Amino acid sequence: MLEVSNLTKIYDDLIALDKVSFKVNKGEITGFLGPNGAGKTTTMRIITGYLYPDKGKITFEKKSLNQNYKNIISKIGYLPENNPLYLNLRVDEFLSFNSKFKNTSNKKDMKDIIKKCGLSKVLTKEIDTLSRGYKQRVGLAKALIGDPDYLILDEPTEGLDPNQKEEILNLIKDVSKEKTIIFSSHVLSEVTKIADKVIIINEGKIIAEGKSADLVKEHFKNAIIEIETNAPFLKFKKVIDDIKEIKGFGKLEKFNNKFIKVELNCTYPEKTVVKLFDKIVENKWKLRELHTKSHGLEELFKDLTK
Amino acid sequence: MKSILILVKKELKDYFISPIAYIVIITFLLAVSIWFVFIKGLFVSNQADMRDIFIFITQIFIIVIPALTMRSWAEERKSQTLEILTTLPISSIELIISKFLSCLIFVILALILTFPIPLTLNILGNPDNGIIIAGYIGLIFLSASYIIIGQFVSINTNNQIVAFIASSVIILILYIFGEAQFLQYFPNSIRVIFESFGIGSHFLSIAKGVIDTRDILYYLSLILIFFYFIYKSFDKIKRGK
Repeated sequence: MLEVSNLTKIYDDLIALDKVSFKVNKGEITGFLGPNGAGKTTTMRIITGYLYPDKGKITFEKKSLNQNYKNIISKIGYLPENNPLYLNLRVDEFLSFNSKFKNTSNKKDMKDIIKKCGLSKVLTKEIDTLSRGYKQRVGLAKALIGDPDYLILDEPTEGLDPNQKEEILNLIKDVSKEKTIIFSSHVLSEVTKIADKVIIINEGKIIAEGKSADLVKEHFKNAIIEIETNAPFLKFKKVIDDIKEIKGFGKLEKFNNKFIKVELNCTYPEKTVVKLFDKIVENKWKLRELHTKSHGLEELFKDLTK
Repeated sequence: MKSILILVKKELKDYFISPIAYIVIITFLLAVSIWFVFIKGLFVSNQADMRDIFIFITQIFIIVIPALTMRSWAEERKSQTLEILTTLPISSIELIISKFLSCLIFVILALILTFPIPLTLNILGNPDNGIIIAGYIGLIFLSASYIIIGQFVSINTNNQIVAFIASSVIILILYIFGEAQFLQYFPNSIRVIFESFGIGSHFLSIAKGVIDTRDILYYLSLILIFFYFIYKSFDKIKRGK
């Protein structure tokens, strides 16, 4: 288990991290979310030993990073933001250089990583000549060397095409069973897809932590029903006022052909949909659309970080 | 120790991949050869010693060594690869030692390539090889001092040109401190102080074949002081300041 307690980092006058605390369990993938400059990269840099914190403590399996620095660092696989690489080295030279520090000379493991990251064809090429996607794969392969217990990946899918993104996400999922993984991404659908839990950070503070579905449910107490009908607005409003589960109007659009499209905030959406349908039939209004609309991580993220 | 060896190997490989290293080494050897044959006038001076050539090397190294050290940290900072090194399971001290040793080994290789000079002297005359060996040992200490100063400047910038110019200027100032032409303008009491700081003046007695512990201590102190400065600069980077 990786535990971060009261991590604080101040750059000149800017508080980059303000008492950040969280835990990540073994076998868990944690998606680290936040707008640019929120403190994601700073947190990852401190966890991996690149930066010192001003305050706070990091422990891996209850062992302090400071007191067991070399031992712990050798168990971390890290893909930094912008993926810096030694561009003058060949792919095999770069991976071999890194493997020497991870006490791994197992050629089978290396072959496995090269295969998993799809680097077989470019192994003897100079890194500088590779495409951005391949460079990202090299960075990821570097992080996987030595079968690390912890994987810290700062935007691992940056610069990849949709197919490559899919492959890399599957790869992360694939290796996650025995590892503790933290990865950051701007693409929320990626996080929803593979993360067991998410941490949302904004202005150096953690503002949400938990399973994405739970966070969404907890944050958005009301569900949304979207309805498109030709009901006259005032009459429709009267009907709505009579349904006690409906808590208010959301977005409203009017069309030239007298149809209106309304978003309604409500509790018990299934029950409300039935009641609404009955009223529409009763009033002989035409109905084009009637469905519940679920909130997602994207709405939650926007809501929390705006 | 193992980590240092791996890093030294990688750094040396980087030197040999880079064209700058070849340009520097060829320029150095050409300059030394031209000086030895034409300027000093090997066949005219009728002297089988290397004292003057050693002093010439201490002067040309003021440019040669910063050209080698300018990229050692500045390049890592600029290309952000310092993040790769810093997140490897190695300590800051091991990292600084590796950078220092790899550059020193490269300079020693360049010095070894001047072996045709003592060889020629031995064929043509009867030089005191003890003095020549002492001179080479002195050059290694002096080079180590130049290197550590160059690397200190390099870690504090991500611009190689700035690193090169600033290192050359600092070394030149330290060199001038011990020069007679500079010291003549000062009274004796101040002259002694300046002379004790002169990076080149401490080499003069070594070049004569006298290895004085005070001179060696001077170079070792300089190396240790700048090593500490590099350590503090590295610490500052890790603090994100």
